[in-house]
Amino acid sequence: MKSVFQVYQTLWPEDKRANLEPLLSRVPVLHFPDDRDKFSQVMPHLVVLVVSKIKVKDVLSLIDLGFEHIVQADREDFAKELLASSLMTLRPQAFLKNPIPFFLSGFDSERIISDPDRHLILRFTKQSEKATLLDWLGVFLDRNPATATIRDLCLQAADEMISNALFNAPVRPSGKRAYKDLPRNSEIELPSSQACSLFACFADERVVLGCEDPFGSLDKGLLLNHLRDVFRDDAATMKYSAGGAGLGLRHLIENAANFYVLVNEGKSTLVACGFVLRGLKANMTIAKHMHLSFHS
Amino acid sequence: MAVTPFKMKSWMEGNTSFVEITGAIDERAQFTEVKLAEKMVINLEGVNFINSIGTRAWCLWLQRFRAPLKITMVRCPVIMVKSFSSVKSFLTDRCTIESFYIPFYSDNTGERKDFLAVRGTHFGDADMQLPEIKDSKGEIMDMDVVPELYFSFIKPA
Repeated sequence: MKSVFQVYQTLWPEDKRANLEPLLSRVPVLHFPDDRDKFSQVMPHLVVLVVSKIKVKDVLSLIDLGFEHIVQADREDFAKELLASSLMTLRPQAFLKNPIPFFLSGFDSERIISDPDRHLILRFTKQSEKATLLDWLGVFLDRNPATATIRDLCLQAADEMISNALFNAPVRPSGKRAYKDLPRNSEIELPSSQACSLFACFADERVVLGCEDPFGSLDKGLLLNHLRDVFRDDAATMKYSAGGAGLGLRHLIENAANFYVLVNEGKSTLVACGFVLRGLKANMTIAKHMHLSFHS
Repeated sequence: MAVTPFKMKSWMEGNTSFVEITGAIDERAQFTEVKLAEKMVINLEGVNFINSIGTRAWCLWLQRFRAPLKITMVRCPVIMVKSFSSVKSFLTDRCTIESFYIPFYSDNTGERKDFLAVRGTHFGDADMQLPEIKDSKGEIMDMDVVPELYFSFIKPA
């Protein structure tokens, strides 16, 4: 089976290839639909799957087959996403231990981290902090005028991810979810040792924001079932029972250009969205990169 | 625009109840009782944020209003209009949209402008007639929506 490097090395400048080869030559790549006949021969979670302009429902079908990193070939950020996928595939533990620094842009990460105008990391433990978190995020986004068109999208995404981290993620030692069915205006406060993080960063043509929680409690099977449910119909159906409304995940995926879920079981869950800086429609209609990766 | 706390006020004029909602429709939103007449007009221009919990609260509130009450919504912001077609039961059969904002985007300058489309002037039962919207450099801007989704709520008044 061919590796990412074998197939795609020309995507990167010649002077970078020597550095990239040791990593990318170890990551197998398959293509859908051309390599469909090889799917049964591989461990799909160890492969980067390259697709072309397929829609969300079809991406979800591939995730059902066990693929964890689905990358759209026609995107401008294809090379960067390939690189990030390769890192996530090859070094999952190192990645999960500290994902934020090189989450997006691989070898650009140093530049981003050293520039305070390009990244933001905020820790939080309380529901009552959410309004302040969103205010800070709004100020951060306003530093880049190109986000004006998608500011609302970003704030909505952050809101959903923060609520998810506070209400859905925490589990008791018994394994029961502590706050899942509470009204979402309940005043939750996690101990400081269980603080979550909201992060955001600009990388040239996009902004990525996400939340990391220290629980790692997101169950792959439940997530996939939920995804199938929420994308069954053309419009989202609300939950009127206790807890959340059941709309957040679909909203994140529909409105973002990239979507990431990275779970280190029992240790951390990271949920993130990437938005291209080209308006609402571009983010809705773009063929989406999707990553749903689970490690125990 | 900064996200501000939810506020709602209502008053009666003749046979119409008027409701004005501003701020964030989220888990803190408290929809109050509205004294009802034959018609209700809801002005949503000041809504600057809505999340999934707020969406549910909005739907539950709206579902309280039964026939023969007719509900008209005016100056609906983009953030609400996006949910008209993407969330079931966000609008009910009683609702008619009289005016709503359409986002326009300029690929040249990165600007966004929200244009207020008014029934009878810019749209009717089945058609739309919008003026050209230009960016700060005079270039024509594109509608920043997927038309078949964004406008799917338009129906006869």
